[in-house]
Amino acid sequence: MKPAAFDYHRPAGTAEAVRLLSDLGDDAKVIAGGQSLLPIMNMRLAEPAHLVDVTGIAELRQTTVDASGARYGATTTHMRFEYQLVPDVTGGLLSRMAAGIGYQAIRNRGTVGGSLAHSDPSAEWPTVMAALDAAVHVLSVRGMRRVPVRDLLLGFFSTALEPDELIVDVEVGRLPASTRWGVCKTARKPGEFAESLAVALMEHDATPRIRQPRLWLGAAADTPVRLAGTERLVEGHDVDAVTADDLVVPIAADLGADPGAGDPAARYVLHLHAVTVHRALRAVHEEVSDE
Amino acid sequence: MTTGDSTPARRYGIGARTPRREDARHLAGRGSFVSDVKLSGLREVAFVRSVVAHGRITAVSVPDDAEPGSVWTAADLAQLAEPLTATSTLAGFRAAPLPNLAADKVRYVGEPIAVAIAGTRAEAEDLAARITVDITPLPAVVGFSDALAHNAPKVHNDWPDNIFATTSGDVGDVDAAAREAAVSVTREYTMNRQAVVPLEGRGVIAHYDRSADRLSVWSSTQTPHMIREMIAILLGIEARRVRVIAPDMGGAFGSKCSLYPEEVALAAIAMKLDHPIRWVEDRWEGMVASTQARDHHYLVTAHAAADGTLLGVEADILVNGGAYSVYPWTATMDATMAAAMIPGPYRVRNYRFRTRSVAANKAPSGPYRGVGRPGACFAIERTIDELAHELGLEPYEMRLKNMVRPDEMPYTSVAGKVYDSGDYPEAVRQAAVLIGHDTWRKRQRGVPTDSRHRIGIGYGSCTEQTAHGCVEWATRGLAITIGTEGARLEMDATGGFTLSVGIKSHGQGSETTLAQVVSEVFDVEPEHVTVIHGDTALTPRSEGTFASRSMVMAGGASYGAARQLAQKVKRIASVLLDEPVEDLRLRDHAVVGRAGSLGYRELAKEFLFTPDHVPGIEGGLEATYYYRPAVETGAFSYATHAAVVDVDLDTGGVTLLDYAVVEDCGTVVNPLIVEGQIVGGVAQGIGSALLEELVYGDDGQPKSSSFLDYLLPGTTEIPELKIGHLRTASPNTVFGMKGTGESGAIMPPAAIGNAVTDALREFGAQANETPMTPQRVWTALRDAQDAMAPIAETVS
Ligand SMILES: Cc1cc2nc3c(=O)[nH]c(=O)nc-3n(C[C@H](O)[C@H](O)[C@H](O)COP(=O)(O)OP(=O)(O)OC[C@H]3O[C@@H](n4cnc5c(N)ncnc54)[C@H](O)[C@@H]3O)c2cc1C
Repeated sequence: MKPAAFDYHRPAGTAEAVRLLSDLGDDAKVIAGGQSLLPIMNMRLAEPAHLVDVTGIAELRQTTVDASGARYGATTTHMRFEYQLVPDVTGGLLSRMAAGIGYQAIRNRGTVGGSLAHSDPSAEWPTVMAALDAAVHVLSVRGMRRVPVRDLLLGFFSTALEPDELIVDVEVGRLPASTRWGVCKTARKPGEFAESLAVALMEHDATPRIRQPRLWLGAAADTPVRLAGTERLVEGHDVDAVTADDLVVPIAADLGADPGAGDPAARYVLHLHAVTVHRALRAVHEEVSDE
Repeated sequence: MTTGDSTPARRYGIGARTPRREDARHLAGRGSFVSDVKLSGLREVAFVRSVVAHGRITAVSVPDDAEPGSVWTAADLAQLAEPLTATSTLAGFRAAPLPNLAADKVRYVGEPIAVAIAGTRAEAEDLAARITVDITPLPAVVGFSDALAHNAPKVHNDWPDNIFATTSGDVGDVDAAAREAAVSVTREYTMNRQAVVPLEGRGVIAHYDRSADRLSVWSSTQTPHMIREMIAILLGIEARRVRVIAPDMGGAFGSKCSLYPEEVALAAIAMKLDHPIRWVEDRWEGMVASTQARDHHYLVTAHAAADGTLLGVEADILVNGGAYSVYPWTATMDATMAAAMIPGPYRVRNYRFRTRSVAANKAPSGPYRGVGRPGACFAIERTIDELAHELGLEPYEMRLKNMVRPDEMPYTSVAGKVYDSGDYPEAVRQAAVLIGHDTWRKRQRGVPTDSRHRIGIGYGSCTEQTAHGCVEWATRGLAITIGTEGARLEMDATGGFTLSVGIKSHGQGSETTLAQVVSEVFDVEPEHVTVIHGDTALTPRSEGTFASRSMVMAGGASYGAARQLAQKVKRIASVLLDEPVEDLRLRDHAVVGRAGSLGYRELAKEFLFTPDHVPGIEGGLEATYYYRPAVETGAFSYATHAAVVDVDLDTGGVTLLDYAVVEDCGTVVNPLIVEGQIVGGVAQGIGSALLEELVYGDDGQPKSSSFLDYLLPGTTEIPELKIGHLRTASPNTVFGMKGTGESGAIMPPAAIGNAVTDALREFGAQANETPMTPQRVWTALRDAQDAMAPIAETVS
């Protein structure tokens, strides 16, 4: 469990970084927090010949905020979101998600850009950023482009990034005051990756009614899944009138899974997704009645 | 008999709450582990290991440009070392020689095939990756049904089936008990396979010193002397030429008390090299190639009278021992212990059992804290609760009714174990009080039926045989019968003490507790006693640290040596003070008489620098003592654990709300250390109960070979423990000590399993398989509900 030999580069600016990536080609990999890449390299599942460490680049650590939202530098760590050391334009949703990632030591080093580029469907950022319809700005020697997160994530550890492209920042729109959120992460123990991860957004309505729900589910497929059918089913219902069991069939349909699966593991997984989505919905409701 | 927390007679002696001395260096990062050892010219080893669970090796190809002496295969090793063969005296036992490097067949993923040596581990891994191994896969034997199937593939071709050994017994009249019984229950239990996971993995350095003609082997091992002797035997040399040193260790829990192929291979290769070589196990290797544990299945039938009297027990026990028998324990160790422990602390007189130790294409099983008992305890204790439920009794009352009582001690169990002392029912009573049984029952009843949570209370009781001697190991078929420990104590010319013992403290705090034994005799602070352990060149021959034996056995030896040396010190003082020996006492660094006193420092200086000042006393200021207890059936610790759980009916998640332990390990040498052992053991038991499982695919591929998939308990899973103590001195040991290293790990699966089942009683679901994962608990609940309401199901 020692990585294969590699050359290490630590550029001071993004221009230098993308120049390196372009010159070094397929043999190079960006390294940010290293919390996903290094374990893979130690197990020799990846043997890049060059590492381009982007944590020395000051501009990747910057956050800019305006009325429409924020652009978070790619190497903003989970910890900075968790403790709101960067402004949270989502009314606490980003902070809440970040706090659920791994352990403190992981959050101190792991970055939002690294997590999105890694595209693990069980991870927090892909699901919440897809739910928020966030976008990444991506730089290469060919210039900058904007890629919505929903288009960025193509599958397990697979994205729309070219090998020489660098995520520079993540653009998140400001959540309107009328929008409320609820989340639920189900994991075997604190610090583990999610077995199920649900993000629910909906419009505020002083009643327990579910209005314009947007439901996203992580850890269920190779990318985060929008539960469009489930949204339609719960729309307009009182949250108290919906049970977890009610959600099994629509979630299965949204996932393209068989709700009658005989295999105990598959049956449990589906049920757990239903419970997790249900809890996220209830969390929105609880949030609303708090006021 | 019960003495409570006794006040020590000596300030630093038996019973003192002395902080662990070894912690100072560990907390400051000044420990020295195998990885820290610096030797000039040291090169690093990476093993090429099988990635196939079962297959025939057709070729091992070494890169042409590999430096001479940098790659070693089975063919190279064949002339240098014999394979390791663990034998047993059990009837019908089948030996399975464990190759040092696999030659013709591989039998588990992780089995070593070749050795690559380079300047650094990373370069050794580069070289290892260039050694190609061609394997023709064979169908893998993984679970019990695979292994026992009629036409099962065979792990060992020359065996008729996949069974290492079968043992059985039939005591009393179980059939009569069954006829007489008001209630009989039959249940199946599974305790799945676990990794052992010490913080520090294994590690070996081997160096042949040509000028001294000595092979030195540093190994993170619990049994340095045993390893030294076996390495010598397998290499065909005299043991005098071999020295084994176990430096600081970050835990072992049983995974480092078998002799491993890596140790033999490195030793054999080092004899041919002019530089030392080191292998440090990485976590993947730890998860696939260190000895693993548990993997038990039980079919238990128990019979009880209407008043709850336990009349008879039948147990059919299967243990999956993996591919080979490890030395010296063999693959039957868990099964023989489990069969002996099924009767538990109960007075049952009718018992029938069969055990089968099965071979499969998984890493070999070896000892792990508790050895066999966690599974047996889970099986019998869950069954006790099932009987209690059938009879409408509180489970703890069922235990009180059937436990061996203090006035029956010593008591020979139906399995022939001699329980030496204690008040078993009192541990149950105190555990019920400590956990607040009635309060929890009230809270449990107060949970509204529409809540999605339930509360459950469960108990687990067990006895633990510790520090057993030769006769005990012989009954379990071991080729070596363990039961002696040595200690040497010397006083130096400055009045300081050096105690040398051959056991290996690898987290138990023996540097503290054994110094306390010397303090007990000489009344000195432990700081004045150096405890040397784990180096065969510096310590008397020893069997090692396992089976909760070191405090009792090495403590017994240390006490013997200290008493002998004390006698000599008094004789010297008698000459120098001119007072009769009978009038002399050892107090505060000095020999104190009626008239005068003499500090150890002056005494030692007088005697060692100027022996002519002490006429009539023979030379030498040291004593060596070998301890072998007169009664060899062991000192039995025991405990009752009580657990309260919350079960989330939606996710199947189990949370511990409260946990209590009441234990008796006899006379306590150091309460701080005993409590530490209990807490650590319970944490591992919670891991067994709720989290830890080595999953193997149908093809024998390990699916949980990192901490991503293998979950260990951490601070968020372990509640604050409530610990109560009983103190019944064992009549069989020095000071009345009983071992306590393993006890904590044994009962948690039983107590938690009973608590989860208690929580789910209204639904008819049971927790009969560990770990009790959310999926297992939820599935048990759903299946029970489906079974209860088949009509409702079809209507909706
Ligand atoms: C024990 C443990 C527990 C964890 N638990 C969780 C959890 O519960 N939830 C969770 O979401 N995550 C978890 N993680 C993963 C963690 O959040 C990682 O930090 C994150 O996935 C990757 O971020 P990083 O900055 O460390 O990326 P790195 O490991 O440095 O890189 C990951 C990948 O992204 C690429 N990359 C990095 N930055 C950029 C960039 N700016 N542009 C283009 N490509 C880039 C790299 O080339 C690499 O392919 C855990 C990790 C560990 C070790």
